[in-house]
Amino acid sequence: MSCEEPTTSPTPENNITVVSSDGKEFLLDLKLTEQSETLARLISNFEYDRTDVKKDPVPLGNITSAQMQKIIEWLQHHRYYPKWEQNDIHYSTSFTFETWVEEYLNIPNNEMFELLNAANYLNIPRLFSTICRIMASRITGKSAEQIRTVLNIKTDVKNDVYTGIPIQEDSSSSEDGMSEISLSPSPPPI
Amino acid sequence: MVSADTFWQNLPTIFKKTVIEHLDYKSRCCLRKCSKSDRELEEQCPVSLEKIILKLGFNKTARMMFEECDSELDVFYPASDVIQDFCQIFRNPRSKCSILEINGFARGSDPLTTDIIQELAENLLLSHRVKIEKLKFWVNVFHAEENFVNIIKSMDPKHLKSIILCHVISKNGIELLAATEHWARLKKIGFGEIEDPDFDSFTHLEKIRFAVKTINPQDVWKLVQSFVKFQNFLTANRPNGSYFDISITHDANVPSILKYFQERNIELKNEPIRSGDLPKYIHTQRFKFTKVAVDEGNTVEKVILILKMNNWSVYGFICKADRYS
Repeated sequence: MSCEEPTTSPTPENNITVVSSDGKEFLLDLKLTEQSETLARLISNFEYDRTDVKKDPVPLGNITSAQMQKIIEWLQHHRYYPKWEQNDIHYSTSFTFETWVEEYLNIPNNEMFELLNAANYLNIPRLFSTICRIMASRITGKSAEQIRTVLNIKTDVKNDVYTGIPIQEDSSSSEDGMSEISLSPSPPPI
Repeated sequence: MVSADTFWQNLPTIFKKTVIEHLDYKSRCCLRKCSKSDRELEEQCPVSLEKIILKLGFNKTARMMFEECDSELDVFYPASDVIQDFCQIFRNPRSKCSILEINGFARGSDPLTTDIIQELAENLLLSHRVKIEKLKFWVNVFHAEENFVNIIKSMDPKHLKSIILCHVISKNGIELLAATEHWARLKKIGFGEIEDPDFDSFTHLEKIRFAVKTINPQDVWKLVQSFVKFQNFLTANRPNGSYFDISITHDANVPSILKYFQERNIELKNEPIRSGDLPKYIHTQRFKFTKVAVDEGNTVEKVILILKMNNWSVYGFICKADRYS
């Protein structure tokens, strides 16, 4: 889904200032903060949505200026999207993303990590869920060895705890077999 | 900043769990093999599957297949291992599956099939009830009805909505099934032949399909009444599309059914809904009434129960009245 983004210039009445951990100030439209449950609650508690209330800058000690810039980019893109509703995870997850989102999240794992933390801290559920889905899409359909490579996991598993059978590190022939799916041992001789 | 190399290891558990819950089951199994911590984490995340097929094979073997990911290799494993794998899916109490199909259509006469079902039931009954919405039990002959009922009992009655099976159920078998707490919550059954069924036990269902040797007018009347409350001209809260489809292996006596209806002040009128029905059905009766949709602001809807009957079938369904006006 995409939405038209009418240009609006923030005025002192309809924005707040947030300060990143490295001291940089960002002017944030109140409309954008609705996507962040943390900021929305803060604004509600301090009544910053009232024009007669003095708005002090909001320190965001856990978020760097680079992350904040990235977050604002997300908020602006989704400014006119309907409110995010967390659905129960159903039987199959969609790994289809809009092009803008794919480009936005085409970033290294460590940056993804930081962004996920920031999304969690600011409680932006749409961003949080999207990052988790993107991460899932990067490992779905891959073998154990490929997942280890993608996530840089050092294995500490030698034997399957249920069957006692050594786990095959990588076997392209077994990828399609039942054992890859169900961890069953080798088939019996028939 | 976290190194790209240690990204996954440093990711908080709650984030990892959300990622895992988005993975398909095969990918989850692969992740389980990556490390002990990933295995432990995966076990904490519920599984949501569209369909699981347990295919029964020779020599007490079986194969588990998934709707989302299935292999081309028709490889069977010892049934005990497959049962353990199946139970593993439901180790997390929040795990759920939309459809479970137990497929042993050609294996009904094999006594080992009964053993597999018994072992499956015993294993499932050991833990919490599994969340499955629809059970398809495709075993052509199955006499161990207590084992089958135990499979049902191992399921969460709040989730089980539909049972589809093809084997003949004895009178004792249907009584055992009807005595479970699951039965009263079911919406749909699609059975093979039922031996001498008590039609009172089907009156809560929305979709009914089975075969019987004979059907008497009283039983047809019970079905019609359960779909239409004649006392106040309201349906028994059945949605449009609800149906009963009873196949009769011996001839149904349609004239006696019609006579029974007449005795209950039903004005008989044969109104086929399409021209092709005229030679196919002996009688098509339309029961018109209004339905009050309780959930939608008490809106009134005109609906009909269309009842078609011939010597081998009694079929009724509810639809909007204007559909066949």
